[in-house]
Amino acid sequence: MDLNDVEILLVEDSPEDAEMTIRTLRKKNLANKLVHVEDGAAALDFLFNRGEYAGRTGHGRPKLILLDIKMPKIDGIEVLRQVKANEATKMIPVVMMTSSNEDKDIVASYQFGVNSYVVKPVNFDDFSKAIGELGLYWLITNRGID
Amino acid sequence: MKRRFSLHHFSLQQRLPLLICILLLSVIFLFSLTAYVAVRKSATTIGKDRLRSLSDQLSSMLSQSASSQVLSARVTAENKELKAFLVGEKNAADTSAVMNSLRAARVDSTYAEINLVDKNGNILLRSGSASVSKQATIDTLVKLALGKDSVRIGKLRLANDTMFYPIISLVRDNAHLLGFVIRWRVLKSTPQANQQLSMLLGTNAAIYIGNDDGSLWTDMIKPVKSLPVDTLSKHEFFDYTNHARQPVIAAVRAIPATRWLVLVELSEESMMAAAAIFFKWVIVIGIVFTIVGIVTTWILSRNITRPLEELTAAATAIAGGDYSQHVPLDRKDEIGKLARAFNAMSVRVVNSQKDLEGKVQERTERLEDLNKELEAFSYSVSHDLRAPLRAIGGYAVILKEDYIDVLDKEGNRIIDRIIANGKRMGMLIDDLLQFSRLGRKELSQQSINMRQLVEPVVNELLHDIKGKKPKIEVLNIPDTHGDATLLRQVWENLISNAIKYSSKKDDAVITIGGNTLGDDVSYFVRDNGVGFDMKYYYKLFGVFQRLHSQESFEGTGIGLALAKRIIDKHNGKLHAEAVQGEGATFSFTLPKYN
Repeated sequence: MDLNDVEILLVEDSPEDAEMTIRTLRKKNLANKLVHVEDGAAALDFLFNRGEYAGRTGHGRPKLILLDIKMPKIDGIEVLRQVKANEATKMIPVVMMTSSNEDKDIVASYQFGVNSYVVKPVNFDDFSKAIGELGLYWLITNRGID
Repeated sequence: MKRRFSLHHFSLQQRLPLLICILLLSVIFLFSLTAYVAVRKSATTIGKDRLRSLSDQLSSMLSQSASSQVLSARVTAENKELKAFLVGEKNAADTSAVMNSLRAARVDSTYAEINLVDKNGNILLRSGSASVSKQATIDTLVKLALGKDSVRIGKLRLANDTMFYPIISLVRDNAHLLGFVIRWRVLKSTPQANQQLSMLLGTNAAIYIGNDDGSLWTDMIKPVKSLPVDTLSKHEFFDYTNHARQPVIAAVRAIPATRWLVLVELSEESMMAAAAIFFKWVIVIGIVFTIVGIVTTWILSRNITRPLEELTAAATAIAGGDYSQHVPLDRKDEIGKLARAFNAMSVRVVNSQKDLEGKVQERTERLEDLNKELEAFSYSVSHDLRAPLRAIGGYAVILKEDYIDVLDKEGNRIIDRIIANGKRMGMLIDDLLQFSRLGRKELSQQSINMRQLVEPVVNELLHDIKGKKPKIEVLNIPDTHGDATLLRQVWENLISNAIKYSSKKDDAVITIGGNTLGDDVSYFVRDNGVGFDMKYYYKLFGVFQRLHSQESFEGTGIGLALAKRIIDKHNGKLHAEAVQGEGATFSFTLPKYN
């Protein structure tokens, strides 16, 4: 897969959630250009072309970041803060995909400029429905910056 | 209503002086009375002694004077010419000689008249004029004189405002009675003599002389009104009111050799003068004692009650919550002890109050911490359960989707059961999360138009019903204060329950209403559904507790627990009544203002 042409960056530490998310998006044919990283540090490395992704050129920034909050190393809120604080990445829509229904996480996310906050439904039907709608919206319905 | 006199109406401060006053007064009164009676008695005794001795003295003095007069009368009676005249012929020469000797016997003007009377009582000769020497009088005197002493002084007689008394002497020749010489003497004392006498007697004393039959009384200057004295009685003393209307005591004595009585009168007032003075002094001293006693006890009781008042004020302050009270009483007595004990107590109260506050604070903090921990635990448990549960459900779906050809009918059924139970567990976890989130949520307070809150809920719920819709009546619903979002949740839970449990009735009717009860407002939701057995009432509001099977009525059993928790947070009460098979009424009360 071409790391310089990525549409979705999925930051998710749970392999099951990641698999279900990818499966759902694939069914909608939205997962062709998807990169999955398992923690915040890797996500930041990818976005800022550091570490493992040092060879990546800056042009291929994703059209959407799906970000979990609770993750090892760097958590989702910190990733969001750094993404929105950086001129190069702040235009990328970030959707929080999380199990957290806590007010403080919601408030912090919006304060750092999150574009959408979605609580993962526990029920798989609802979950796949939500993921599908969200992918369709941000990649197709919504008009972003090219 | 009558108020009975009682010492309890008085304060301690008043009671002690009052008691001392009563005590002093009664002691002084009793003492004075006894002393006064004793003094009076002794004064009376002294007075009577004085009267007795005075009257004795006077009686003997007058008796002496009478004796001397009797003596002089006897001399005249021994006159030979006079005897001869009475015995012999009565010629002119003799008569003139006798007359001369009779005239000579009238030594001064007080001898008003002298009569020579024969033994039959006939007046033979008369010298001077006393206008009392009536023949009848002479007869009486002669009759009385017969057989008695040779000379005798007779009763006083009044004639023309002058008092006379006869001195009768018998004229005898050897033992043979010849006749009588009767001298009439005027009783008249001079004011000087009287003054001398009263000096002898002392002030407030009076002397009277009278006949022994009480027929005439005189103060020796003029006759006086008769005195209320029974001359025949054996009494020594007489009490009566004199002419000047003064109470007096009198002593009466017979004067020997006369038919006279002497009476000495002493006013009771003068006798009792000492007693009266004594009484006055006793009263003055009594009053002084009483005043001193009252003032002293007042000061004393003040000395006791004042610190008591201070203690009372301090205790009242402590009762009112001011624990900084200290009573500064440096005394060695019982009150000092009380004050020290009080101060010690107040220090202890302060300390234990502080201890208590500290402990309460500590416990509250611990409880709050524990509560937070518990909330966090239940939250994180339900939260962390979501991911694996989602995975179970998700992979089951994936299995079903991807391997539908491989699985047989039984395999498919098992996968369906896994998916269905996963769903149900998801619902339970979501409910649990909602319930635990409610515990951490701050209650907002706003005024609520209840009708506007309830009607949309009713409409939405009716809209969602796919089958036969029940009849829902919304009656009067008062407004209140509270958290609108949460109360909306309560209505939703109660009304949806009512719809659910009456869904199997043909004519399901749900009534919603409320009313105001003093400071509370109460609301109810009534249905005619299946109801429940009141025996299981205690389970009704428990989390995930259900009184009906999942097969007959769907649900997780969180609705009523949630509703109860919301009402509790509003300081209200939620309760229910039901008859199995006939319906249930759920009602809740809220305070009008929280």
